[in-house]
Amino acid sequence: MLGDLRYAFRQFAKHPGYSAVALATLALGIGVNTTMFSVLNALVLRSSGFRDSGRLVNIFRSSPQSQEWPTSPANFLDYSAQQKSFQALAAYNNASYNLAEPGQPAQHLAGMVFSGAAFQMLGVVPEVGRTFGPEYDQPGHGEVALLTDAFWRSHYAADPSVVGRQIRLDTVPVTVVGVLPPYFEQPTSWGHLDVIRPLGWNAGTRQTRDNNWLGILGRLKPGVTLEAAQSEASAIASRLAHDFPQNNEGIGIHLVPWDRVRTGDINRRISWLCMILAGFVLLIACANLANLQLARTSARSRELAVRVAVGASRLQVVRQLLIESVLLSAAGGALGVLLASWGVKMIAGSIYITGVWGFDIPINTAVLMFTLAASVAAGVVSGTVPAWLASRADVNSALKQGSRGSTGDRSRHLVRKVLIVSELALALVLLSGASYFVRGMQRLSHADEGWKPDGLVVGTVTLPYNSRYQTDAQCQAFFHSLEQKLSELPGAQGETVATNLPITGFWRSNGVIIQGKARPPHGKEPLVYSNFVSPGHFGVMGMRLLQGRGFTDADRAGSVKVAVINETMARVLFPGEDPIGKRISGTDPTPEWYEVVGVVNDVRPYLDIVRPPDTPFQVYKPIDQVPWSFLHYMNIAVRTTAPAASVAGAMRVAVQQIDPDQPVSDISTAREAIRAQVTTGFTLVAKILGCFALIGLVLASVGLYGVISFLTAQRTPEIGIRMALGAQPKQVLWLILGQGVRLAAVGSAIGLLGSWAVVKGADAVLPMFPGRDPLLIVVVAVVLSAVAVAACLVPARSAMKIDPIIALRAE
Amino acid sequence: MQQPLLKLDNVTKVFLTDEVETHALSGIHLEIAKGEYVAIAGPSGCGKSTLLSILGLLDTPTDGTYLLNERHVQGLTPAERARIRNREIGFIFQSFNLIGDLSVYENVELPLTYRGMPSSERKTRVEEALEKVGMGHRSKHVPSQLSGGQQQRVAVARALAGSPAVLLADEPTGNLDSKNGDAVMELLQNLHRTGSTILMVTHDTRFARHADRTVHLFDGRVVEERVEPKE
Repeated sequence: MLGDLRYAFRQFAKHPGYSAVALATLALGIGVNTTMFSVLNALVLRSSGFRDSGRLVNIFRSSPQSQEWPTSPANFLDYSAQQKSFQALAAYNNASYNLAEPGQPAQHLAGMVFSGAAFQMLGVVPEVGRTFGPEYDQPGHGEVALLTDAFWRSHYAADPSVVGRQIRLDTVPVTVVGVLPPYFEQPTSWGHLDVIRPLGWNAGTRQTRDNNWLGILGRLKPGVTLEAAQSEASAIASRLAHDFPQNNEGIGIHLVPWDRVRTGDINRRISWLCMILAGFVLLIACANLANLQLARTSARSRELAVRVAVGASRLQVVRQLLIESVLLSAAGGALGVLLASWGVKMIAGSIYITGVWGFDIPINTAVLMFTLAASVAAGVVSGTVPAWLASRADVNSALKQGSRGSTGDRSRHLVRKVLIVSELALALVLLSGASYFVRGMQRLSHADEGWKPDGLVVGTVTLPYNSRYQTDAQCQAFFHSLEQKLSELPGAQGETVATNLPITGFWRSNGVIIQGKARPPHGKEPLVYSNFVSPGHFGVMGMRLLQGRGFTDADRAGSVKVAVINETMARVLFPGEDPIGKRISGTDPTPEWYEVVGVVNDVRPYLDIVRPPDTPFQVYKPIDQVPWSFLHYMNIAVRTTAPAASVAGAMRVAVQQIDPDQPVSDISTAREAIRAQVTTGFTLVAKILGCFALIGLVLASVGLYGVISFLTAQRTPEIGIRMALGAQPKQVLWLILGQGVRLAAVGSAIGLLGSWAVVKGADAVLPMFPGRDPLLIVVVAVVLSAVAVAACLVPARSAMKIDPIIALRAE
Repeated sequence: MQQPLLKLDNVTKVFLTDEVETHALSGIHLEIAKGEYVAIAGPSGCGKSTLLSILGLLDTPTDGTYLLNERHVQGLTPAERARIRNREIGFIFQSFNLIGDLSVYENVELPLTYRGMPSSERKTRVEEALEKVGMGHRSKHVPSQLSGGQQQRVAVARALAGSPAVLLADEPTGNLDSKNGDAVMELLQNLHRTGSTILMVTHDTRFARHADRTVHLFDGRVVEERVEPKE
């Protein structure tokens, strides 16, 4: 074995050109795969860090519209009391806080609230200080907060004495009791966090069954399966539906392993899709390397024959060649890790999660083990066929004086052709995958989504639930003042305050009934999205009023409650009728009727691409006609002709002038917000797949060039004979080109089938993504064929210049 | 009566190409005793090399039987054939067939490594073989640094190193000038004197006379067997 290794090293040193090409090919193939596996590992495969997280389960409310709704406090408490499958259950919700410290501008913090059982259930041991327990579910235990490790380091320079210190969150003094370990931050699950606080139930909250806002996490008892827990949950859901039909009829309980939830279905599927396509790049590299090795073993046929003649078994010959192949791929793997460290850095910096650019993608032991496995596999895959063919070559012929060692070349030629056809087919699949995302992004950027994002600057304001914003009047006063100040910004053409902007989509939904029409059974009412907006909303957003009117300042509390609906809702729920003047209500026992005063065009939120809407119906209501206390989190948008940067600064000043403790966050142009919050992921996928496709195309073209060159060299005597018999150079050109064209045609045909499968797969993952374009795939196939033919031109032109006398002498 | 070391009985070899059937060997009967030095002579294309390949287990007969050391060797698996080739047969080729990337020492050592022999024993055997052919002082050189005659002597050392039952030499002087050719023939002669069994293919009657017996082939058949007169 040592001798084989020594000989392999000598071979590489003696043939630096071959070694360099093989290493570059492998480095690209393995580098791409190491990069992609690092991403997959970080986003999907990496353990959460929580103790035995495989037993953690998310508990959702389910309905015919969605399987993963949040839950109401009362339902959570009832479920907790009745269930026997879980060791413990914890409720949580996202929250945001305003940190105001002396001498510093107010800062918006991302946070969460957890019920007290959470930390023991998750097995979290704080880095510094302590966590909080179930006693904090009851009022009267003081205002406390936990800091995340990242916030502790960035904001307090990892100072342990921060524990015990008081900070002002939402103008309330809060004591920091501990710092959570780094693994608590699960960006893909609950976003980037700064602060964690107790959920803190009061008596009223405990009774709430009509407001669903809690996430629930539980740890299964040992020996209890998910199926058993689901069966119990379904029974409890039935009991709740029986006991509280008003809120629970038609509602189920749906259990999903937390590891699945935290990694996200779409995130997981796209990551795997990219990983599979990265595997195609490695396969192309392996096919190229196999072709190179076939040529090398042809050149070494005599050496291998000598080995056989002196008693080497076929296995020993195969072993020798495989050792060379694996050694080469191991070196390629090492180079691949270097490439991957660069690739990972690029990708990590392009990932955006909840307001933060960048994501930790380590090249850790798991990644290095993958690289090692991929390297060995690449060596074995690319080396086995050439080694096997070399081991069964005709020894007699190879040993003969003057022999070119070409015996067995017919089978080698076939293998070469099969390999190159596979390379071309795989390259086409890669190109199609990339073009799916590129085309989709192109269509998205030019699509009419029902509103005009250009010229809009947006931001969010989160009012704290404290004494300053306890009443509707207090909240109204703040936002009216803000609207006034925004309207005075230089270049401002209009402003709006709304619960949702069509960037991330609609988040509030409820059933709807129509006055004068038969009410559907409870739970079967049509679902509508509700958006509460200020009077200028439709104009500022660039939406079209199709019928009736929009909102005015007269639509305020105390006046007739009005609503504007979208055109799909008008068409479907009021078929053949004029919806104007009709009255709609939510499904509460006592209807609260809103008169439809207008119809606007449908708006397609960008986030619908990844989260298909639960309903096509959209209802807008004046912001002054709903309780403001429900509307602490508001989006603001200003249509302006001024530069976005100056508007952003002016927006901050405007908010500070109203309340110095109040920050405004996520200020950007609407286009930037769309890019950051929705499309950046797809752009990144398009770029990644574009890189894969380019590498695949180059490797396949180089491979085709190599094979056609080799076959042309093998046919030199034949070409000499043809020319001696009167063949024109042009006929020779077509002879060689024809060979390449046939291979390209077969490769493209197979590749088209693969492309169809990839597009189907991508469509299944992202049904709303507009990437499908059969014509583009045909164009891509034509481009690939053209590149393939171009790759054959060089050897074909060389063949035209063959001197028949020299060629025949060689024969 | 002593059994022959090699025995071919009615051996034929037919090559089939797409449409043509070529009879390379027809009804060959041949016996070679241990310690015998046999030359196989004949014109180009008469089947000499095919016969040598079958005797060296690099090829299999289409029909007939072949006994090596009283053992039937048709129907052996490729691995068993490789094992016999490694332990009982030593090849000397016209074009030397040394491996250019290996040193003289490593070339001679090659068959012993395939045998799985410990390195200390390999070292002893390689040094002995190289001394026997007078190439001990060139063990660290690579073949391209040697003359043709020296390369062939290294090839002989490689064939000898494993102490095979028989040496098969295919035109061993074909690529050498007359001086080096004579030197190699003398080397084979010396090996024969020390008990080696040698089967040599040659078309040069001058060299065939070194053998105890010459078998003449023509069109794949043995047409004459002649015992060479000894001086």
